[in-house]
Amino acid sequence: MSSVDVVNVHKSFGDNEVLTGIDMQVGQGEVVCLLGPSGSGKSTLLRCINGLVMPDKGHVAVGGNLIGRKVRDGKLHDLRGREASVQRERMGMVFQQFNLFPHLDVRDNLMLGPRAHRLAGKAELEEKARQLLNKVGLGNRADAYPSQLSGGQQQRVAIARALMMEPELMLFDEPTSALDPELVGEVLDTMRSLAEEGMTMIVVTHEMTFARGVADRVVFMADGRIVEDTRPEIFFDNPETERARSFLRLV
Amino acid sequence: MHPSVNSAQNPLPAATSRLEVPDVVAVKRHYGRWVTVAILVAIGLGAVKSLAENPQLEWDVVAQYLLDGLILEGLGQTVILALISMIAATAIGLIFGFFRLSSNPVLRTVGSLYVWVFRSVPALIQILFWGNLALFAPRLGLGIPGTGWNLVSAPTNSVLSPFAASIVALALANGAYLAEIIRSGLLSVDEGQHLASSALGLTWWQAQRKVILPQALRVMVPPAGNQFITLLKETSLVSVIAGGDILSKAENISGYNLRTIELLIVAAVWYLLVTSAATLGQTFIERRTSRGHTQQRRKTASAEPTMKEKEVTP
Ligand SMILES: Nc1ncnc2c1ncn2[C@@H]1O[C@H](COP(=O)(O)OP(=O)(O)OP(=O)(O)O)[C@@H](O)[C@H]1O
Ligand SMILES: [Mg+2]
Repeated sequence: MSSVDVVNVHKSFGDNEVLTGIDMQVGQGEVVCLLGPSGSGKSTLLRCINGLVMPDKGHVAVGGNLIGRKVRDGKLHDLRGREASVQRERMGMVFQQFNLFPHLDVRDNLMLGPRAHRLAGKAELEEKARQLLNKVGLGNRADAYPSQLSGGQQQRVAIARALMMEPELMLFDEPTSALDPELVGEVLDTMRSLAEEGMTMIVVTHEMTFARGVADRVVFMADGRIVEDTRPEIFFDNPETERARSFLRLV
Repeated sequence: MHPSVNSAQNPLPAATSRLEVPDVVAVKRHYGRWVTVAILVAIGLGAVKSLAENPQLEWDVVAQYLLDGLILEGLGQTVILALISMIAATAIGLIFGFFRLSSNPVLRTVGSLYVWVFRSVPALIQILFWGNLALFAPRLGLGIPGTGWNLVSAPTNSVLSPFAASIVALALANGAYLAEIIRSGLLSVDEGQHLASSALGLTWWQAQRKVILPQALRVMVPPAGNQFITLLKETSLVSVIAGGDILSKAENISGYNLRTIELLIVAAVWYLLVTSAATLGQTFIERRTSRGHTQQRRKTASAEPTMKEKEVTP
């Protein structure tokens, strides 16, 4: 089971309160689009979900496991490096800037994670990399280096790289915001087919058409809290709050 | 309205005012360069001539000692000294470079103190210090200070030969520079690479080894190569504690045959050769570490067919 349970998560950077009590649930196979103005804490929330950032208060559980912490003597203690790393295996993350490894070719970008975790033998992983590259439409670019690919191709490689770990949950942080408009479609198509296969996804995006068409739910954040959490057609056609209405007028 | 209609109907004035321009571009003649070269060649020849004809300089002595057994032994020691010190300095630099970037304030302070002390004290003093350690620390050992309890202990001079003292001194002095080179190399790697590594579940050390260091290497190799060449020449300083290097040997020899300049030339020729070899090696390594690293394109990347379809590195 891969449901995500975010409970009363608070996070500050210095004096800057970025998340002020987030509660959110995502069910297995659900696709949730996270919308909100810049600086509202969307990226920070995603990073709390996969344990890249530790909440100051509250907790995140994925598939019933507490993320990044364990309970001992009635208190939360941070997990050690390796324990925390192992948890992240099962969550894929895709970034706005792709963050491919520039010194490795596409195949090695895909193999690095699973090789480090010894998930399977080399031949088996190579075969899997081949299949995933075919799936994202880049079967013939396994030997290319990231710098030789277009932005859209790089982002599809990044998605394939995350899928190599066989994640139960995929997190996307503005995956198309760094792309030229004509390259956005190919990445969104890849994400759409992933959603159709039943992948649990949390997607931070400014692509309203994608949110409306693919999301099961839209979560709208502003100033570090969740303002609306509803079905996309309700959010886009009849937003409840003035905050959401003014956001939608601007996009 | 009218002007645009007019200009559309009336072409530009006829080509009466066109310039008569030939198609051929004159070849540039760099007279200044030729003059400079001529002057420099003249100076060079003069210098060579005065050296060659100098009655005080016996070139056959230079030739005789260039391949002398003692000199070659010293040359070997110099190269070994430089290589071992460089390897040790890199290991030290790696540790303190990471210390300086640590989130742990204790480690950060330790790292800064090390770099501060060992970069500030001249290498010559550090060499003299380690070479003369026996003067104020007659015995070296492992134990608990103040309790008089010693696990092992031995006379300093038997543990720390001049050669060993030279390695310790050069490794510690150069480690401080390498720590800075490694630190700036690590800092040059994009924050996103750390995020992506963590998101894939790599541990800190896996991320450093597989992702961060290989990329930092590209930035670190040129200054580290320079540091190695500096170190190669710095080994000559250990002649002050008779470290056994080529300059120590040259001084030994000139101590009894009094051919000081000839033997300095012998040493200089070898430094020139060894340094040149190191420079070649540096170029080779630089070429290797920049593999697969054409300019990263992000937003600017487009689907235009300018993509280097054929530039697939094996
Ligand atoms: N590591 C950090 N250190 C300090 N401040 C941070 C850090 N990460 C985020 N912030 C701050 O937290 C706030 C929210 O950032 P966050 O990136 O979560 O917003 P966002 O909703 O993703 O915005 P955007 O749409 O611009 O990506 C911002 O004010 C940002 O400056
Ligand atoms: Mg963001």
